[in-house]
Amino acid sequence: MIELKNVSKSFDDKKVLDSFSAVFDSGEYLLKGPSGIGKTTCLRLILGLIEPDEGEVILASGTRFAVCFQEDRLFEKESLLTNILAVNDNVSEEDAEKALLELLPADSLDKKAGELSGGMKRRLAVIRAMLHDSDCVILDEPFTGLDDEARTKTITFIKEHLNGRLLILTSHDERGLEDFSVISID
Amino acid sequence: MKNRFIRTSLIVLIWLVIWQVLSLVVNNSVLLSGPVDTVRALIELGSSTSFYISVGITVGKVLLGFLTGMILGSALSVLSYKVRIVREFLSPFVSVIKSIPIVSFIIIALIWAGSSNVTIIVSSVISFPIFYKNLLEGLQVIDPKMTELAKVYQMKTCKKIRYIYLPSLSSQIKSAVSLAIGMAFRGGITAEVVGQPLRSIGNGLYRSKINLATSEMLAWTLVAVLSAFLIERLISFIVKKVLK
Repeated sequence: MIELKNVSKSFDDKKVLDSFSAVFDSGEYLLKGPSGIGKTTCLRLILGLIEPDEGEVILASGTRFAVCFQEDRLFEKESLLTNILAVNDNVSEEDAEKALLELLPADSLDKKAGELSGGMKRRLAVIRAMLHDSDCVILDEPFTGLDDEARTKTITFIKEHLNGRLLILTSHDERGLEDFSVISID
Repeated sequence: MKNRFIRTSLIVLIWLVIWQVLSLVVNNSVLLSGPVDTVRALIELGSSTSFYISVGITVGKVLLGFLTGMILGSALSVLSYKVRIVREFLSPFVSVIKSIPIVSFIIIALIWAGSSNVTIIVSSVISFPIFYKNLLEGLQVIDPKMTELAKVYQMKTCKKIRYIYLPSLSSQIKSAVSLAIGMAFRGGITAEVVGQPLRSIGNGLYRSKINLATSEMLAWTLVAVLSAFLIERLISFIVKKVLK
């Protein structure tokens, strides 16, 4: 369980989050809100990458995260397989290759990550996160640049590889995520 | 490629001809020895075993000094990157080292460690700030988004080095290696000329000067230039392979 209790955060005197509270128990959550409202800030607070100005973030010590950041953050000069294995010590090459083929065309496996299209890079970042041995998966706008077909396949992939972990996802588009618990920031 | 080689060879040949003509005009082998005499002196030097021992010892000492400077500079740059107080503490020290004339270091090294170690000390003192500055600058511009990724995914140190740090630092490492090895050779041999350790390129240069054997001095210079060039090429090749 992860709890944000009256959390406030400002950047350069601009208040991004103002006394925001939320509880992420188990299951799948869609963190919703207009652009620039502080969804990413909220995720960064949960990940411990920034500290709140006020309030607290409560989570079990040693919580392991897997994340797909808003930017892909790939090792651009490395192969797709290496991008998975570099951050996943417990994943075999076979499992990584199988997962890659679920979302990406077979011929893309011979390429470097930097040679992929925007949508393919996004899918690679999602695959990398979903394969990571973790307690909580955080996906920040994972469907950016994906067409409807790729988006549907990616949602199915996420659900199939979640294995009961807590999932917190942000997306402007709610299609296919109707069964997610919604937490709004406004 | 072939055309470039022919053009470069032609340019070198023209310079050699200019050098030979000038030496003929001057007509004094002490003032200016020509390339033919220099090659003759080089062949003569090459006929004795002690020549190869001298070259080997100098190259070995310069390399040892270079490696010491590289290891120290790299390690301290990482420490400075991680710990701000270390960076602030080392900053004036590195600036001073960079601005002190080499000959001052040579004299201090001679007083402290004697002539046999002067080449190693001077080469390491020259290499150290080059690696320190280059790597620290490189570390400071590493994409923080990638270090965040490594933190969240709890990447192992070896993987962080392999996939985040080395790719970002590769150009700094390459330029530091290329610059430091050349300067280490120049500084190391200068130290040998001043300190005159037995069996060294610097000592050979000094003896030629005493004997007014200009062609022999130029032959030793040629050996120094060739050694530095070959070692620089070899190390750059190894670094390129490692960073690939």
